[in-house]
Parts: sequence; structure tokens; C-alpha cells
Amino acid sequence: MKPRPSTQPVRTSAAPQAPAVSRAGKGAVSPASGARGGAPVPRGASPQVATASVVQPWSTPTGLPSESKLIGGEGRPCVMTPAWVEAVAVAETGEWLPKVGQWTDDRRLSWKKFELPSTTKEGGDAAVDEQMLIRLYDGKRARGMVRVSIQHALPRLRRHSDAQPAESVAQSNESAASPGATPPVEPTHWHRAAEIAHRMVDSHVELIARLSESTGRDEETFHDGPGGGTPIWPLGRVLDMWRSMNDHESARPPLIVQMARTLSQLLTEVCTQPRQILTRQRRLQNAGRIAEVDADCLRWLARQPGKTVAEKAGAKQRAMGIARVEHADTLENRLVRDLVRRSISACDAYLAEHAPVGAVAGAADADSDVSAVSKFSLTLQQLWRTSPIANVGALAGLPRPNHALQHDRRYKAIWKAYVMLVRQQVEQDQAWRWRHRMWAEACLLALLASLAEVSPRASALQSDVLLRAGQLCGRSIDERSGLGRFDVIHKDAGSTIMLITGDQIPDYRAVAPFPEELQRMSPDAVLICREAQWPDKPPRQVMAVWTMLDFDLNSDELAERASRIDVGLRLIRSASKLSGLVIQPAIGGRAAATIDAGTCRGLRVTLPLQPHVSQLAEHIVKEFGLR
Amino acid sequence: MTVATIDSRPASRLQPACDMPVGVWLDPVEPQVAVVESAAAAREADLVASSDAAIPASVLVPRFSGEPVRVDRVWPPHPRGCGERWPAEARVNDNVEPGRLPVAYAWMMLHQQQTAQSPLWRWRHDDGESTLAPAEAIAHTLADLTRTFAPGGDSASGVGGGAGARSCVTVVPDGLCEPARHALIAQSRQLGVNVRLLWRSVASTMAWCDEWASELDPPSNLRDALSRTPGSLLCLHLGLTHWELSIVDLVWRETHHGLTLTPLRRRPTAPMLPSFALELLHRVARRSLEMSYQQPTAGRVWELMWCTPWLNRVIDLLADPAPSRGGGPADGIEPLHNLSPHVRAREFIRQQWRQGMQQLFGSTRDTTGMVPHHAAMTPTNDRIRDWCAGHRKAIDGRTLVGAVVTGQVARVAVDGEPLGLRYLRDIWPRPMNAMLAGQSHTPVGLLARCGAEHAARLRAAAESGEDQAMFLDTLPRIRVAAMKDGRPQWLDLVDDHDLPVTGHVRWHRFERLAGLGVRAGRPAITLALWHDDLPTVHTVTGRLPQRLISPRRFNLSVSIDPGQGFPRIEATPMDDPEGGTIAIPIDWRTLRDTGRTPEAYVKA
Repeated sequence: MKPRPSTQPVRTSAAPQAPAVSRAGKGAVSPASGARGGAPVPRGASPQVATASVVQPWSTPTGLPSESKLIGGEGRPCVMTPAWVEAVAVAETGEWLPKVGQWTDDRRLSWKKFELPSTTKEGGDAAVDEQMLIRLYDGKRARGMVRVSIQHALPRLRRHSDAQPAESVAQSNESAASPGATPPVEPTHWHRAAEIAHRMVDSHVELIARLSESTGRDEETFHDGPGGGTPIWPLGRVLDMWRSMNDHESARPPLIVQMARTLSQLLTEVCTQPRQILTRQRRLQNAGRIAEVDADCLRWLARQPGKTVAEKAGAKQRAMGIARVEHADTLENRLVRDLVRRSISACDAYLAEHAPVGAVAGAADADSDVSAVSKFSLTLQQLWRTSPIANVGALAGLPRPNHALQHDRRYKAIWKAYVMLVRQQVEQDQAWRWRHRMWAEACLLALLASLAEVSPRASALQSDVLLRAGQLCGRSIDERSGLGRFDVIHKDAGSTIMLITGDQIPDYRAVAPFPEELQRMSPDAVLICREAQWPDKPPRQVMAVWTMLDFDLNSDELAERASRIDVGLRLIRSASKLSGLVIQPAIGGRAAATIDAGTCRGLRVTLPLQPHVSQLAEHIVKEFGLR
Repeated sequence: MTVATIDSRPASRLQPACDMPVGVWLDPVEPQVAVVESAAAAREADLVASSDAAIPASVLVPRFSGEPVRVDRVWPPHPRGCGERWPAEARVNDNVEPGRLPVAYAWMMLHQQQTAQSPLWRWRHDDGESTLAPAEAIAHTLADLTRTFAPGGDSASGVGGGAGARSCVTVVPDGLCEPARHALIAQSRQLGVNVRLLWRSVASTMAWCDEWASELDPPSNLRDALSRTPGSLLCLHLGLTHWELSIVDLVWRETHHGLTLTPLRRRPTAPMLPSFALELLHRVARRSLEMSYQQPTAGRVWELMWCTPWLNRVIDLLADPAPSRGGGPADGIEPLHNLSPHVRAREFIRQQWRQGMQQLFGSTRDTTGMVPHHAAMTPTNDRIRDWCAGHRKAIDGRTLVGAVVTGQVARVAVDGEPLGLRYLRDIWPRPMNAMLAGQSHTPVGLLARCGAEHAARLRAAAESGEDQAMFLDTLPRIRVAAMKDGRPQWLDLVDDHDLPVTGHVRWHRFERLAGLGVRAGRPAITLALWHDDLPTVHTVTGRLPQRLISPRRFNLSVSIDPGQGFPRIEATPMDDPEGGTIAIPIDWRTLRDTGRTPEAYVKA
């Protein structure tokens, strides 16, 4: 039995809008209005029938895309294209989509799979729909443009608006988070789910920010290249940091709290007494007091009627001269203004999220974070209204720091805070857009922590983890981070487990046998278990892991996804035993739920992931027979 | 007082020893560090047992920009260059140098250095190529060991040999050429370690004297001591990478303790012999994998050799007549489950070793897991025999009073007899007062211990301001090309090159070498040097403050710290019209090989 293709095709012929999608969370693609009705396909390449289709990561349709219904909830939309498409970019932002798979089907037609970003729309208690235009590139030229519709996606929280108290949402959710088949939940849970997703994204961004900071660095284990290049940490240290993210006592306060505690006085000082510069301006002045003129002033004077200077100065006896004027409209002050504006926004967002909790639990604590941010917000608003900084011009883009920003005692600290705040905001925007991939990376760390629990003295814990300066499509860990092996002893025998990430599979296949059909299914990670005694034999077992940041709010799709992957895995011929694992987040405070679908298991875990490490480790031990 | 061999324990468990004398012997398999309170205490120090988790020290070649050089010496190893197929940086293939440079290979490369240009370890990876000089690798290992076992100092202010630098004495082979020694000192200094080199033969002699000096009849007075020398000592090192034989004369010197037996080291006359042990152990590793039905690929052999404690265990098995660590060969290495099948029975290992020694290989044979250009160095049986015979002739007629045999191969027992004693007899048929390092009655960590003892003595001498000789050394012969009487000649820069000098005291040339002419328009002084450690002529320059507008003559002053790298040469202008006496130092970083022999250079 072959897996049912889950595609939504776009015909290359001029077609009306894509068929309406009735079920929740479906992605659809259609040719963009004004775009060419399908790109010419090079000879010998894939069929000219479809330009692109939306599929799920594990789907590998073997036939021509048909009008069949999309399977899955919101899922994790990928766009499948013929192989002549070299690259796909989002038209609005220009960002390139990551390629997650490439394969040749039974008819020797080649295909590629690119992962789509998710929605960015803000919303309240309901799902959001969003459309995006994507360009298909053949080499250097764009050969077509299609519109992708993503529906019933998680809304981005309006952090400035009044947030719903988390407690009440948690209580109303208790009944809904039962394992197995979950009854449809009420629309209010969209907000709760978005909140959980936001927390996950923020936590991951914070983790990467902590790892990327070079303060207190250890030369032996951390380094960054020239110009703030690649920070590298041993995996063991990364996992320690990841575990500590759930430790509230040792957790670092959010950036805005740190700013509220450290920057308030400095900002007040700078805003009230900003750095000023003298400029020379040509102005009409009292003729007797002109101290300096230039050629332009003389030309002005020559143009005036009259013979003598006194006549030319007119009745008011004013002439053009150069005056020295002091003003504060400088780059560094514009930056201060922008920092104040952004900080007010960040304070509002923080207070919207934390103030209700703080008002109940920590009202008596005048030194609480909420209190500090609240005071900081008031100070900033007052400065915005009354200080000279309010009158300087707006900043366009992120500037290159001038001498004052780099070396002035006051502005140096402000520049550092500004860069951190801007970076955090950009990171959070990007991370929300690519939340599926960020969730995949968070799950990857959880898997590694589980493996470290199974094998606490592993070579892999010494591996170098390379961090990108900024995340790329939701991935902050560079794919060049090669992880070593985890050694496990059981029953007087040994096993080795290796974790290969999805984007490393092509490289891994170049040096070791790996089923091609499994690569087509684009898993996020693969765990490969071998007998330590027989390292040259094929692996004993391969477990592929898919992750999906989908709360299944309309209907529980986890079982269906697991069963579809199970069917796909059963069709693969391999000397190794194959199994699958799908990890999805759960809403509510219940323990994780597991769904068994033959070779594939679905795991729904509550967030944060840190407490579930033991459960994941247990699952790995059981799956690989390491007891 | 703490003397430690390398283990995996955190440094905090050792006594803080930030300002205590440190001695290091960077053995390719099991480096040794000794930290002592005083010279006298070094002999009575207790030793900490080596850990089962220690692997042969290796240096990870940096791959990324700004990545530090890291030392890997504890199991489990870093994945880089560990021989696995994945990740990519772990791979080891035939004919390719991987991303891990074992200290053993670094020593081999350093021994091979014949010119100013150091050979480089080249690692080709997905991002390009990274290189590492062997002196840099050894300096990093030295710094790492010093930091771990003698914590203290300040890394930041110690860089470049500043105030926060740590100090240590490192034992080095006698045959190490001067550019290699100079590079080792310079690299260590950059890493915040002020290293002082001690000849291996001198360290061995110091250990021998501690044990056997009482056997010799001390002279009754100084006149008697000067007229009668006790004889010479034969120092044989049978290491994993190289073999070396040195003859050290013993002389009586008067100190404030009375007459003391002092080593007098002569310049080595015979080259070192590459050891067969490394290739032999590769073959044993390969055979062991085959016996376990595993493919003996280059990666697997490499992993077994350099990324597990296999090598340490096998040498222990070969050396010990009775197991010192439990009953079975794999005892104590339970965590290394995939290693246990390869540490096979003692008899298997010994049989493989014995067979290998009988064959002693042609270089055309398969040497899986070895870096190729090192594999060809293994000597044949005939060459070893010739080497022994050559040394037998050299010692003929000399009064030998004893012998010290060191090195991992010396410990290996074949047919119930350590190889060290067997090869010693090939050279000296009737040895007496022989001391074999690693035997039960000799102190463990002998070379490191002597290094620490020397460090303690240096410190005491510096504090008391005394100038007593700890050992006597012979300076290298260095000559400079100059026109004299209208024809080119080689003039000695070191005029005392055949006389013994005090080992730890800087030597100064008594008279300046006068009249070195430099033509007008030259921006620098260039000297052509003939160093007896180097087969070809090298040039070295000292930059002048400005181009000369007229021909000038310079005086050269020379001073040397014996055994501590290149001499310090300064050029001072003669008859400066402005009365200036600015000394222009010769910069040894500008050392370049001309590729010509001294005869050819002078003719040209």
C-alpha cells in the first residue's frame, strides 16, 4: 500500500484561484495574479503539469499531483516543486526557503521540497490565515510566482493588548488535554496555544542569545572569530545551559528587566543632557555682529540692492552671516530616541504579559521585576514627552556606530543595549515566522539531552556546536556542527547511537549506508543505533524523528500523521529496523501522551521540554532495546 | 609536595602549586609532570597512579577562524579526527592527515626538521585546509599540562613570557635541532609558559647519579678531582618514535656541598634512529581488529591507537611480567566496552610483537592507520644492527661507568628480558650499573622528576645568586660568512664551541667579532650562518633603523643560553660619526634556508 499523496497542485495553465480549503490548517498554492502561467520546464526534467504543491514534510507523492484533499491540520507546510526549481524565495521578504528534500520518484521524475515559513499575523482568540507569494528560481532567474495560502494557523499574540490570565486558561484546558483522541477544543484555546508557542520561541531565542554572548567566556571551550564570528560551545555545555533555562532561580531576567535595572538613570541623564554639537549655519543676523562670512554670504550680499553694505543691509540692518549653532540632532541622539521608543514598546509588552500575575502574587514586592519595568516605563514616557531627545530626527535602519557610540562612556552602554534590544526583537519576529523549525531545534536539544542521560560519558558531549550570528530560517545551530557518538552499555554489550540532523543526511549518506526513501521523508533528525562490537555492519535500528508545532486545536491529527508515517516506513527496504517518532506540543498541564501506530509513535509533550528529558530517554532506551 | 603523572583528575585535587618548580617529560604515550617543593624532595616524592581513562595526548587542529588549539588527552575523545565515519571532521583516510595531531607524530615531525622551515601537519576539510606546526602542538600540550597540574599564574599577563607566566623545565631529546628548540621555546612563551629545556641525557645522568654516585670513589681533593675523571655514562633512549644514544662525561666539580659529580654533555655525533615501535603497534592494532572480525580500516586503527587507552594498556601488557592492574587484560576499562575485545590476551599481544620484530618491515608493506610519510621511516633489522654497531665502535676505548635506558620500548619484555637491556648489550656487551626506567626499583616518572629537580635548583640558584654548575654543556658551532683577506671565509661566532660551559649560565663571546661590512643602501644587516645542526646555509637579518647612505662596518656580539635556542646576536656600528651605540638585534624569525651547502655558498 502506498501512502496517499497529500498534495494540492497548481496547474501551469492559467487557473483561477486555488480551490478553497475547508479543513483547518491547510496550505494551498495558486498562481499569483499577474504571474506567468507556469514556467517553461527544461527538457528532461520533471513534468510540466504542476509548478508547486503544498505537502507535509514526510510526504513523497509518487504520482502527478492531483486534486486530492490535503491531509493534516495546520501541519508543517512544505512546497514541493519539480527539480528544475533551483531555489524558492518569499517575494515580500526575499528570503530563501530552506530545501528539506530532493528525490526521484518511481517514474524517474525528480522533485524538491522546500519548507515554507509560517504566518506572522497577530490575532486574538482565533486562528489566522495568511497568503504569501513565492518565486521559483531556475538558476539565477525567477521562472514563476505562486501564491501560497496558509490557513488556520496560530495567531501571533498582540502583546500590547490585554492578555488573558494564564491561570484561567490553564483551568479551562484541563479537561481537553487527555491522551489519545482529543475532542475539539474551544476557540479560546488558540490564544493559550499561541502563548505556549511564544514562550517556547522566546525561550529558545534567549538560550541562543545566552550562548552567543561572549561575557565570561572560557577560552578553552568558547571562541568567536574575528568580527564576532562563530561562537562554538561543546555540546555538554550547551545542554547544561539548555537545562538551566527551566531553572527559574538561575534564570537570567529578560532583557527589558535588565535594562530597567541598569539603564534608567543613564537614559534620564542622556535624554536631559544629550551630547550636542556645534554647526555652522548661514543666517540673517544683525549686520554689526556678523563675525564670519563665506562666499555664499558674499554672493547674497552682492545680490541685494544698494551700493554700500549699510544700504544692502536694508532697513533692519540684517545681513547673511555664518552663525555657530548648538544642536542635539546627531546620530547618537537619534539612536537614543529610537531606544526610548523601542523600550516603551518592550515595557508595554512585558507588563501586558506579567503585570496581572505580578499584581496578585508579588504586589508587596516593591523590588520585583514588574515594579522595576513599570517605573522604567513611566520614566521613558516622561522623557519621550519632555526631553530634548524627543525633538531629534528619526533613525533609519541600524546605523554603523560612530565615535561617540563606540567610545563615549554614556553612549557606549546605550549602544550595547540598543543592539541587544533590536537584535532580540528581530530575532523574535523571525523566530515566530519560522516557529516550526525553531521547535524542531528545541526538540533536537531535548533529544540530545535524553541521549546524554542515557550515556552521560559520551564522546558526543565534547562535540563542537557552532552557533550562527543570527538565526537562519529558524535554525541557530549551524549544520556544520558534527556531533559524535553516544556509547551505551547494556547486558555486557555496547551500542553506539548517533544523531544526524535532517540537513546533514545527504552528507551522511555519502559516507555510510542510509535508506534513500527515508531521506525523502525529510525527518528533522535521525537516531542511528549500532552494535559497538560490529561498527562496520549496518545499523541495528534507525529512528527518524519529525517535529511539528501544531496543537491540533480543531481535531487531533497526531494519530493520523503517525499512521501515515508508519505506512511510509513500512515500504522502505532496509537492513536496519526502522521506526519513527513524531513530537508535537500539548496544551495544558497534563503529562505527555503517547500514540502508538505500528512502527511510528506520536508523542505529545507539554512545554517546557526540559522535564520530559527522562521520558524521551526512556523512549529511546525502550525503542533501541537498551534495557 | 606532589609528583603526578597524567591522569584525568581535576587540577583542584592536586595541591596548589602555582609557584612550585615543575618538570615535564612529554612522552608520546604517557606524558609526565612532576611538581616538587625542592630539589631534595624530588627523590622521595610519591607518585599518583595514572588513570585508565588517559589516552595518548593529541592536539586538535583548529578548523574555524579564531578557534583555539585544544589538547585532547582524556577518554572519551573529542570527535575531531577520532576515526569515525561521522561527523565529517572525525574521518581518517589513508594518505591524508586528519584533524588530530598526536603528540607522538608532532615529536616525529620535530625530529625530522632539518631546516628553519618547520614541516606542517595539513588537515584538509570541508572548509578548506588547516595547518599546525609541530612545535606549536607540543607547546600547547605543555601549556595545557602546566595549567592543569601546576595551576596559577595569569594567562593574560603571562602571554609572551610576561609577569604572569608559568615556568617549567621540559626534557627534550639531545638530537633536537636548534630551530626546533627555538620554535618550542617561542611558542610556549606565547602561551604564557616560560619553558626551559633540559637535555634528556643530562636528566638521565642526574637520575643515575642519584642512584649510583656513591659507588664511585670520590677524589680526596680538588687537584685529584681535576686530574682524574670518573668516566662516562651511556644514555640510551628507546622511545616509541625515536631511539637515541648519548654519551655523557662525568666530572667532579667543587660546590659548597663539596665535590659533586656533574654531567658534561657533549654534542651528539650520531643521528637519532626512527623507532620501529610505532609501526609495529599499528600492525598489532590492525591484527587485533581482524581477530575481532572488524574491518581494519585506517580510521579504526587510528581510533584504537590515538583515541582510546588501548596504546597505554598494550604497552603495560608488553612491559609488565605480571599484570599490575587487575587480572585480565581488559580489567579497569569497563566503560570502554568497545575497546575490551581489542585489548586481547597478553600472549596474543606479545606474540604479535615478537613476530613483528622478527619481520621488521619494508616500507612497501601495508601500514594502515599511519600517516604515510612517517610510515616509511621504520628501520629494518640490518639498519638497527648497523646503528648498534656504530655506537659500539664509538664507545670503544671509553671508560663507561654505567648506563641509563629510558623509553617505552625499553620496558617491553621479550623472552623474559626487557628490550632496553637487550639493545644495551648490543652496544655495550658487558654493561654495569645499568638503570632501566620503568623497572620496579627505579622511580616512576624519572625524566619529569629530574626536570622538576633541575627547576628547583635553578630557582634556588636564582634566589641565592650562586653560579654553581648543575651540568656542563657544549655549545654548537656557528659560523658566519665574511670576506677576509679578499676571499670569503667562515668565521666562528662561538669561539668556545668545543669547551664545556656551565649549563644554566648565559655564555658571552669574549671578544666582539669586528668589522662586518654592510653596503650602502641596505635596509638591513644580513648574515649567512652555518650552524652545525643544519645541513645548509641559512640567512638571518636584523633591520636597520634606516637605509645606510654609506658603507658601514659593524661589530657582532654573541651570547647564548646553552641549549635554549638560537644565540642572541647584536650588531653595533663601528666608528659611528654621531657617536651612537644602538645595538641592532638579529631577528631569528627571519631565518631562511638558502638551500646551499657551506662549500657551495662560499663558492657562489
